[in-house]
Amino acid sequence: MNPHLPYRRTSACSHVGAEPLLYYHDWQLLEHCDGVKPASSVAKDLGISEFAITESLERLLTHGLIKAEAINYGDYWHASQSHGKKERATSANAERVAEHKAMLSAVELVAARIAQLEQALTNALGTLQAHTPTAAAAPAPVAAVEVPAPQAVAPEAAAPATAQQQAAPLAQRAPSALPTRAGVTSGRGPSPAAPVPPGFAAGQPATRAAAPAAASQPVAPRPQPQPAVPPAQKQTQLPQGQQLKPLVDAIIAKAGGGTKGQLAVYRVFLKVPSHMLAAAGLGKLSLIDQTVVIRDSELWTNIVRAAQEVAGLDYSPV
Amino acid sequence: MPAIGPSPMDDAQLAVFVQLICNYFSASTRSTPQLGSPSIEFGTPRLLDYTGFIRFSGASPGWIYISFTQPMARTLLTKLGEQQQDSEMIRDAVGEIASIVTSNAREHFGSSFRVSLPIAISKGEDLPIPEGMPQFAYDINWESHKGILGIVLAPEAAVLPS
Repeated sequence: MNPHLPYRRTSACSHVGAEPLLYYHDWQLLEHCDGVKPASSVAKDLGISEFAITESLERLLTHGLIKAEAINYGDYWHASQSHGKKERATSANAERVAEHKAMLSAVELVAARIAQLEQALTNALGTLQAHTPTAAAAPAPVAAVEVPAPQAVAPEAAAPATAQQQAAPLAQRAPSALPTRAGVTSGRGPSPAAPVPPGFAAGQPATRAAAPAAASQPVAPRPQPQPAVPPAQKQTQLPQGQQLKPLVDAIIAKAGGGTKGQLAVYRVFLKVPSHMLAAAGLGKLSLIDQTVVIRDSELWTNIVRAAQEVAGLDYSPV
Repeated sequence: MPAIGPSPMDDAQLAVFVQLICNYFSASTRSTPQLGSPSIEFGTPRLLDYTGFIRFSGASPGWIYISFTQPMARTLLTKLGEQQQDSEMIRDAVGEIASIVTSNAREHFGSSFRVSLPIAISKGEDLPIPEGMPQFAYDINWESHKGILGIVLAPEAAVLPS
């Protein structure tokens, strides 16, 4: 799948009813897949990030709604002429896009300020812990900064574990963890009234766009300045990351070691959604000397769940 | 592509299959290949100039493939006493090697071993396996050449065979 290729809607588009459930920008992209303009270029016009477009294309390809298109010059000329008209018609929306981008910037500024305050709070907590050792295990300040309650740990390990847990969620909310997917998606807001793509019955796009947005939460109707980070997004990044090697070793051991164990690891990864692996930049996983760290909590959860389902391994990192 | 026989392919059998491929090299060329560390590769399979695919079915359906660089395939043909080494010949030979390995596997596992006729392709040709499947791959070091031995299991194989 190459975002720089043009994609065309397939005949499957005319058969889809209420299914499949896609994200708002997936439908936007599908609507603009005319088989002429590269998907990356369409995404740019729509204000969809390069990261999001890759995932969108993968979802649309998976559902068989689009295919990569090669055309001759004649087709290109005719299509580009009509495309030019369409572009002129949509240029009136540029102002609205700029407005949304400005709102996004404002939200990010607020988020950055919150992150600074949290950093200051973390430092203060650290100082407090250094001077009052018993305060580290006290639950009250932990709850005040929305840190999960400490796990049951041996008394001798309580202090360092608590400190680590306190630092972790705060780091999740740093500006670098903020960005694009949910933020950009929700910042875009409802699309301007767009032409009905060929193959769709009149009125269907709006219905389709609304259904997945309601079913899955990443698309909000309008950005609000108050919530700097949507609650769901707080959990998308593992602040310290999870080393994959201990889990891989545990699967190998559980499955009997050797090639059998390595094949069990392979079967585990067959169950992990490929788009998540691609998004994490995981192209190759050595089974002997790999040093991969998983930072996406959703991906980590999927891997651990797959290990449980495939190899019966109940894994909890030390 | 019809499959033969009823028995499934489990991980122990896959491991044996890998060993059978190594044994083929050792027996026919008197030069034992070394398998590198296995890895799981995501995305489009990393294939070399010529590749032979063997499809097996059952509880864990999938494919085993051996991929050769052209120099590696030429060296192999020379070792096998084959003088004609044009690309068509090399491709046929790769298919033949996959066939022999399959025969050896059937000899080892019995006639109930479910496997289809091998397919050989040159670089750039359509793959006989679905796109986007992760691969379990070994690098093969043989006679200073590098090849690839890979296993691709279908998504429904994401369960350990009992």
